[in-house]
Amino acid sequence: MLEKFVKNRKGLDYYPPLVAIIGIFVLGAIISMVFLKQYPLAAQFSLGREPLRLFHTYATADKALAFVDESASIALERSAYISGKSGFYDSFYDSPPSCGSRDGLNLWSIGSMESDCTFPLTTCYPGESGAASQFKSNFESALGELVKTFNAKGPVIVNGKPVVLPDSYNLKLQPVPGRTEITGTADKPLVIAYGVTNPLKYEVKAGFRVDLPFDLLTNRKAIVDTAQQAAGKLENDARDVINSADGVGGLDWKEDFNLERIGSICLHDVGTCSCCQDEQECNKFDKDGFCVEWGDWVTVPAGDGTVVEKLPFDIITAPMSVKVDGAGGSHARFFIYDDASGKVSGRDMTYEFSLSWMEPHPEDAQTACECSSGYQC
Amino acid sequence: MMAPRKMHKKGFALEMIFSALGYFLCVFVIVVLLNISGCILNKEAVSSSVSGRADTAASLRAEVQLAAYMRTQIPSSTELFAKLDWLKGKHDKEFAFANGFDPEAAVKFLDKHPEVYSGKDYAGFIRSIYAYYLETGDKDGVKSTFNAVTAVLFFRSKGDKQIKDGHLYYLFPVGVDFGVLDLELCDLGYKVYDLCAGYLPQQLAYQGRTAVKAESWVPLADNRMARVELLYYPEFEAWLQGP
Repeated sequence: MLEKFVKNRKGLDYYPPLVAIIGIFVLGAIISMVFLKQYPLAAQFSLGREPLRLFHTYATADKALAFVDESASIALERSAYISGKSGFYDSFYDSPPSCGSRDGLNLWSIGSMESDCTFPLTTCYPGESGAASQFKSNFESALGELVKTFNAKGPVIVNGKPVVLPDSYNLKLQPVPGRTEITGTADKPLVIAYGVTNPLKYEVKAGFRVDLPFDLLTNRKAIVDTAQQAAGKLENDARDVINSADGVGGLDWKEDFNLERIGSICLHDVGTCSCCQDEQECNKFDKDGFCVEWGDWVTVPAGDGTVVEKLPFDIITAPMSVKVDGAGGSHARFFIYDDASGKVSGRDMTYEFSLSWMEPHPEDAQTACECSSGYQC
Repeated sequence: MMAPRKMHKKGFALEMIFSALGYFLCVFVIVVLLNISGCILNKEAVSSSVSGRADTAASLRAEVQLAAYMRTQIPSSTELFAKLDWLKGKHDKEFAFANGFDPEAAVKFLDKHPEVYSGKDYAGFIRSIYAYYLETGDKDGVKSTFNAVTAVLFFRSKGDKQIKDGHLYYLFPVGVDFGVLDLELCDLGYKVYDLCAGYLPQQLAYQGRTAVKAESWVPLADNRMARVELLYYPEFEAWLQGP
């Protein structure tokens, strides 16, 4: 048959178009086969089982990651609040500064009476690196508690097993102007196996970047600078320093003066001081000594004709609070859980600490001789 | 002039055979290429890649929707209060929220407590309002504020000529469970929550009532967790998205 076809000259001319037509039909048949095979299935369902498993795995992981993000926001607010409350030191009860604390506030400066009747100031200002590491430590602790809650409750279940969040994060406190930003990356990946047979193993590293609308470490520097200028000064001068700092950099200063005296002072005739309760007690130590009442300055004539003023009580310790402005001019406010009351309440972000300075110089300081000779002081 | 050389019959047949072989080689290469790109698979493989359960897909859709809700940023106070004004105008005349809604109480609360929404996403708003929910001094304010913020963020409308003002409004229900059972609860029909918001129009009854539930968890300041649920109506939304 083929031989007859090729013997014919006309048949030879039709050979290439015939091959082309057959080729088109064969290719068309193959393509039709492929698409006809897919069409009935694809027409019924728009998304397959395998892609659904993949998306479900992603969505499940996203739930856990979203929880970490929100927990990081809470931890940031909590650690900022704790750092502010403790004057950038560790929790008050864990490691108070060397100056000690008074009325729940860590002291940044304190004056103490020496035997030579002077009142030198001891200072304990928080340093930058210490404040940063303290802040990170508070953050880590707060985040750890929230992650622990999630892992204990296990609300996200995959294949009958709860998804477990990593509890250790590599933290970085970023220097961002006007903000306190902290980033964290989990040390271990979050692993989710999805599907019963041939499960997908989806691994993702939990990470977060959260911030507050104020710069905690820059605030520390501004507050410490002001505190250093005010500490140890006479009260009026200290007030001037604080008033000039008030409102600068979104920081609202407030002082609440609290006179804290150590009692009466016995001024000895040998030029030394000691504490006493009354004149009688003072005389026990030194028959020529005299006891100065609370709140009195005294003028002691020195042998060479000069006059020495003595401050007969402890330096004032003044609790200080510096509120931080938040968004829209209102104070930055966080929701903090109080262990004692067992309640969550909104509180202003405030740095709290205590400074020491002296009471104003009186107009007419009493002289020691008047007191010692029995006149009314 | 030389006459063209006539080809031998056998040579011609061989040429035909080789050209046919070449042709089938080309077809084979095309088939192999199609196979590499995944067009030709066995029925099982095709089935697993394109077949799926509709309810699984709807559940996934609901979960992704809720995840998007939780990360939605709350607008600035100017925008928030402008949208609240719009809601006040529409409320009661055209729709009423589940769990009641007092626009004045919401405005008053938000004005007094900007910290619950300022710079926060929806999850942040939920954990912030928790403190005021516990205080219970202004319960109406808290409930209305939750309704108002949820509505401002997620209220949707669809043009509908059969409706008076030409829009069909809806808000898929969102419920928040703080796990504080001694307070007044809010009812979404099949379940009670601490806070809830939602508005489903009459048309939902005709277009499909099957709801798919999605859950998410928000950490709270006292180291507890709030469960947030979204009721999603895939058939209703499919109808809304239709022509």
